[in-house]
Parts: sequence; C-alpha cells; structure tokens
Amino acid sequence: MSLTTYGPQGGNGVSVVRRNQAFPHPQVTYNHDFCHHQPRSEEATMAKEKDIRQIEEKRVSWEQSTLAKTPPRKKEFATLSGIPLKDIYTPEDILDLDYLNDLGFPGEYPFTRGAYAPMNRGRPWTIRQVVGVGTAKETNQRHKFVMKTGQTGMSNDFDVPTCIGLDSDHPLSEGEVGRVGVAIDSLADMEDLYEDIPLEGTSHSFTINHPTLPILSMFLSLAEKQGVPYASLRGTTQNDPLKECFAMKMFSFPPKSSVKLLVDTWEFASNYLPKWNISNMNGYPIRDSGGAVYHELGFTFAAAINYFDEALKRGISVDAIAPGVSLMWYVHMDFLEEIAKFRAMRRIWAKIMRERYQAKNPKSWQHRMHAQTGGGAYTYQQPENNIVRGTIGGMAAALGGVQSMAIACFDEALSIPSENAHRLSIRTQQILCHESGIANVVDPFAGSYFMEWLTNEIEQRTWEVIQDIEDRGGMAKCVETGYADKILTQEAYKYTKAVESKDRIVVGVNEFVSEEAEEDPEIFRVSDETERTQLANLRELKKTRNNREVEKRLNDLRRAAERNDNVMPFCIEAAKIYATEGEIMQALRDIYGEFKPPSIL
Amino acid sequence: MESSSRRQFFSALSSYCARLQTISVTLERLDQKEKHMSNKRPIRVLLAKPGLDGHDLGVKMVAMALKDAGMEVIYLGMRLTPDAIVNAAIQEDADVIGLSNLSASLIPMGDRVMKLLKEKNLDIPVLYGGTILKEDRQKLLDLGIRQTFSPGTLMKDIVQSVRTLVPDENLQV
Repeated sequence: MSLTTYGPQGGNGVSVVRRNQAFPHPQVTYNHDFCHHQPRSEEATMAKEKDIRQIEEKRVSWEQSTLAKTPPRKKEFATLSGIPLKDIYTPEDILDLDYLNDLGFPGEYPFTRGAYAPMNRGRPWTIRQVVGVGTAKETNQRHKFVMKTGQTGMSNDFDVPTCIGLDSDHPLSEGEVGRVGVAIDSLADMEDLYEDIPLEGTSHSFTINHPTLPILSMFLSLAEKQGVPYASLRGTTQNDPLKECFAMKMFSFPPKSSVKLLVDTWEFASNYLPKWNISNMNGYPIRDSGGAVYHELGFTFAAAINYFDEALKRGISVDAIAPGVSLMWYVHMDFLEEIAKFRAMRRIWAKIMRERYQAKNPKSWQHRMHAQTGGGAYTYQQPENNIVRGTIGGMAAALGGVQSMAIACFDEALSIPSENAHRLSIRTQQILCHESGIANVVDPFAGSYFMEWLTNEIEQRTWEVIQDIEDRGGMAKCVETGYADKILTQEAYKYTKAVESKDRIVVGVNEFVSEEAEEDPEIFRVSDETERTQLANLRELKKTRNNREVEKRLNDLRRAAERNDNVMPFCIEAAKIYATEGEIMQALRDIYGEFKPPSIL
Repeated sequence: MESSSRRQFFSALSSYCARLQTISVTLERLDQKEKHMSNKRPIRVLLAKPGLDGHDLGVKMVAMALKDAGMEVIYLGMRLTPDAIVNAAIQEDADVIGLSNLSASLIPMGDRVMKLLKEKNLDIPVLYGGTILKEDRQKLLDLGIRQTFSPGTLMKDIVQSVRTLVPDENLQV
C-alpha cells in the first residue's frame, strides 16, 4: 500500500447496523449463576454443603465468644469506595466460586488472573512515566533523559491548549503554553519532539483525546516524511473523548460528535495501523473526579460500549478494533480494593467482548492495561509522604497485573515533576520489580476468600452502573444531560465530608499535621520564555508555509465533515503541509459544534 | 409658679422629652436592626474558573460547602476570561469572588482579574484556591487577593474565611 494514495474511507455515509440486539441483561447472565456450568457430582455437593454448615456454626460461635471480647475501633468498616466490610471472610462468602469458569488461568478467558500467561515472569511491566513539558525541543531533551534512566516506552502529555484543540496564539491560551505538557501546534513541533528519537522500535503514547485527529495526523505525517511505514508504528492514542466531557474536562466537541470522530479514527486504524492501540479507554479521571471504584469501571465500560456500538454500525468488525483497545486505570489508596478492581475489570471486559459483541479473537477479550497511581490520592501537605503512597499504589498495580505503570511523582500535588521526582518514581518501580519479590509469581491473591468476594462484589456493582447508564440512553446521553458529572460530584462531596469529620484520615491533611511551616520541595518550573518561543515559532510558521494550500485543504476537510465522511485522511492531508492543530480543530468545530457542559450544581 | 421655676419645669420637661425621643429613636433603630437581621440576605459568592484549567472538583466542593453553610453561590463554570468573571460579579452583585485554578495560568489570571476590579473601582474581596506554592502565595497577596487556599484545605476553614471577609453591615437589604 502506498501511504500517500489512499482516499477517504467509508465516504458514502452508509451505516450497517450490526449491533447485537440480543445482549442479555447482565444481572441475568453474569450474576452468581455463572458458576454452575460444570455440575458437581451430588456427593461432592453434599460434602461441600456439610463443610459450609460447619464453618457457619463455628463462625457464629467465634463471633459470639472470641471476637466479642474486644470491641472494634470503629462502628463500620468500608473500602475507600464505601463497600461495607465484615470482620472476616470465609468459604461462605465465595460459595458459588467456580475456579475454572470464574478465574481460570492467566492469558485465558475470562482473564481474571492476568491478561498474559507468564505476566511479570515473562516480560516485567513497562515503566511508562509521563513526560511532557515546555516546547517540543525541551520535551525532546526530557525524553532522552528518562529513556537513559531505564524507561521503556515513550509517553507524551500535552499542554492544556493542545488538549483542548487551541493553538498557542489563541487568546485563552495565554499563560498556559507548554506549562503542564508539551505544546504541539503543527507538524513542525512534532518534528522537534522526535528529533534523534527513532519512531520504530519504541512505543509512543499520546495522551490526547478530542484532538486525536490532528495530533495523530501529525505523527503519521512525520513517519511518512521519514519513510517509516504506518504498519510498523507501535503506540497508543488515548482517544477516549466522552470522559473528557464529564470528568477530565478537556473537551472540545459535543459528546455525540466526539463519538463520530472517534469512530473515524477507529476505522482508519483498523485499515492502516495494525500495531497501534487506537484507544486507551481511561478510567483515571473518573476516579480522580470523585467516582467510586465501580463508577471508574462502569462509566469507562459504558463509554466503550457506546463507541463499539457506533463502530459496529459503521461496519467495523469488533475483532478488527478490540485488540487495539487498551485500558488505563487509577490506583487509589485502598490497596486490597485496587487489586480486586484489576481482577474484576479483566473479567468484565472479557465478558463484554465475548458475550455482548461475540468477538472471536481472544486478543479482543484480553484486557491489557496501564495504571497510574492517583494524583488525587497525593497530598500537597508533607509531599514526601507521596513517595510512600506511590509505592503502595505501584504494589497494588503490579499485584493486580498491569502491563505498564506510572507512579505519579511525589511533587504531583504541587507542580509538574522535577527530574529528581521523576527518577524516584522510576526507581520505585525498579525496586518493586527486582527486589520486592512481587514480580515472581502470577496473581498471588487468587483464592483468598476476601479477595475473591471483593472481586465479585466490584464486578456486580459495575454491571449495575453499566445497566443504569444504558437505561438512561447510553453514555453520550448521560454526559449531555450532566448525569455522570452529577454522580461524581455527589460522591466527591461525600468523601470531602468524611475527611472534614475525620471519618476518613488523610495523613498530614486532617491528622498528623506538621507543626512547623513546611518548605516546598525543589519545584520544576517552565519559564515564561517557553510561551514566547512557541508563539514566535508559530508566527514564523504561519508566514512561511503555503497558506493558500493550507486554506484549500482545510476547506476540503470542512466539506468532508459536512458530508459526514471519515475525516481522518483529510486531517492528514492538512497536517502534512503544516496546518495547525487549532485550524484543523476549528474546521471540525465549524461543522460538529462545541460542547457546553450543563450546569449540575 | 414663679417664672424661674416654670422655666426649670419646662426645661426639665423638654430634656425629658428629648431623652424620650432619643430612646424611641434608639428603640426604633434596634427594631429596624432586628428586622434587618431577620431579612438579611445571605452572603452571595461568585465562583469561577479563569483560563483553560479543567480541574473543577475543588471548586464544586467549595460551592456545595458554601451552600450548605447558607450562602448563595453562583458557580459560573470554567474556561472564563477575567472580563467575563468581573462582569458577572457586577451583574450578580457578588459579595465575594472565589477563583479556582490548578494550572500554571494561576498568577497571570489572578493578576488580570485584580487589575480589572481596580480599573472599575470595585472593592469586592477575592479569594483564590488552587495549587498555590508558598512562594506564589505572597505574589497573589501582593496583587490584592485577600486569601489563598491550597489543596487539602478543609471546607469549614473556607466557610469561615468568607464569613470574616463579608461583615454584617454589607449585607443589609
């Protein structure tokens, strides 16, 4: 295939409805009767029932005698997400657990124990710290630094204007250019970002959502210029637009339009980017905005269902796209709940893909994930404590079986990371991997009464959230109406009140507060020079490029959008000749509109 | 009655009357004040996020906490220019402006809001919440921001600050 000759894809606007109408109610299909696929012999069942009765008797007497002697220090115990907890868990709590059906083996359906067979015994998780700061040239230097330290994948974070789809010279961009990530206005910046960094052999991750079209187009244009075939490019675009509208809040398009544009990229990727993870469904901001563990999972999967439904209507086969969809999650402070979450989400994803979408390729069922320890779990007070929080989160992620991980840098609550903080995060992961022993065995918590019970409980609550969203018309609809945002806000307020009343202790914040005034740690700052340089470069670019041709290709893009064609090829054509991100996004906003979030307070 | 004693009598009477009047005026004032107290409108707080920062969890928590404390809260939303915020504060007759920003535009945005208020001769106290480093805190106070709040601040402290900043006499109908 010549990379320059393909035309617009799927341009006739015909959509083929292939939605699986027969999707059964999850509570019927997935609830506790999923365990009886292999009938036990009658004798074995009776013996088991007898055992359970004995355990129950013993437990009751233990509660009344031994346990009753010491009163608990709190009236009620619950996970961080508010799932109530008992004193102790026994075989009574996992009566229906069927090893082969519910857990199975790593690398096999339903993947509860791991996405791959050897997990960390094969290739340990990828250390993927997020990098992005200042101009593309500055980020290029930072990339080279972290890669020398031992990082194995490249991850790009963008500044706020880039994430929203505005150029550095937009009036609202003032003060934000290159501050919390790299500023990418055009292909010229992409060229600077990748100077002397090979495109092949490394995986490249772009934390970009609504502007996936222009940013991916620039990356592909760069590959084309260097003669690197699309098919050899490995990497990920986050490309999960719905959660931007209600959680991350770096949106541009209205929810339904954002889904249409996402499907354009999916269609393109299914044809031309076999090694690219075209979407990295991201639950992180949902949790960071206050959601419980089952909202993190439920909203993310409900969004995925929305995307897949639309993609299938476009005639894209589920197996063409699902193997390229990876997932990203938050790691909060409740160590055990997090491990259960990772186990539950693999099982849920496998069931959605196999049972709902009838995916045939096992890779479609296999939930590969990245996790990042939560910035919201970190505190501004006594920032060094965050090194410990990051370690706990990193352990939970490793034990939960993630494929790649970032430990948020300890100064995250204060600023973007300093080099020292970056190094510490990478070293923490290396210590976990090589010294702690947790990478020596796969899914060591399996079989724990508590862990299996909690895994089931999180799964059940997640199905309920998914069902609720579907009953309300799907995720895009729930974003439009503000429903999702409202739930997160209510949950967050509950947590805020718990911290306020000290029902929940946060060390250094509402308890164990330091007496002396704290000093800020070494802080990384982007100089004002960055913004000036970026603006000067952009001005120069707009003077020297072929403006007439840029205008023409932007008009072609607008017309393609009006026809509701797949706009991806038109974006690439525009990006190639240095049309800016803001211009491409504006052309799309002209047709698809702009999101105004509903008021929810 | 002799004229002098009559004079004395009337002088005493008039001073008595004057005192009565004073008392009645005082009583009336007390009465009015009481009325004001009961009809006193709640403190009106305008909350907004200047610039492009999308971290709106904190400001929503503050909005809910101030509402729970009986205040009237107008949350303007995000992606606002300083102009839009100051104009809304005038229109809504806000007693306090609360800004929230967890990104790097924190200081430039605060600076622009304060300059606009000064240009328009408005003396509305401004509070600023966000990832405010210790060294930036002083810069913001120098701009005329009355108080800053960093992540982890307890809501009750914010409620208390707003109450202290808006004295009762500002709230008469």
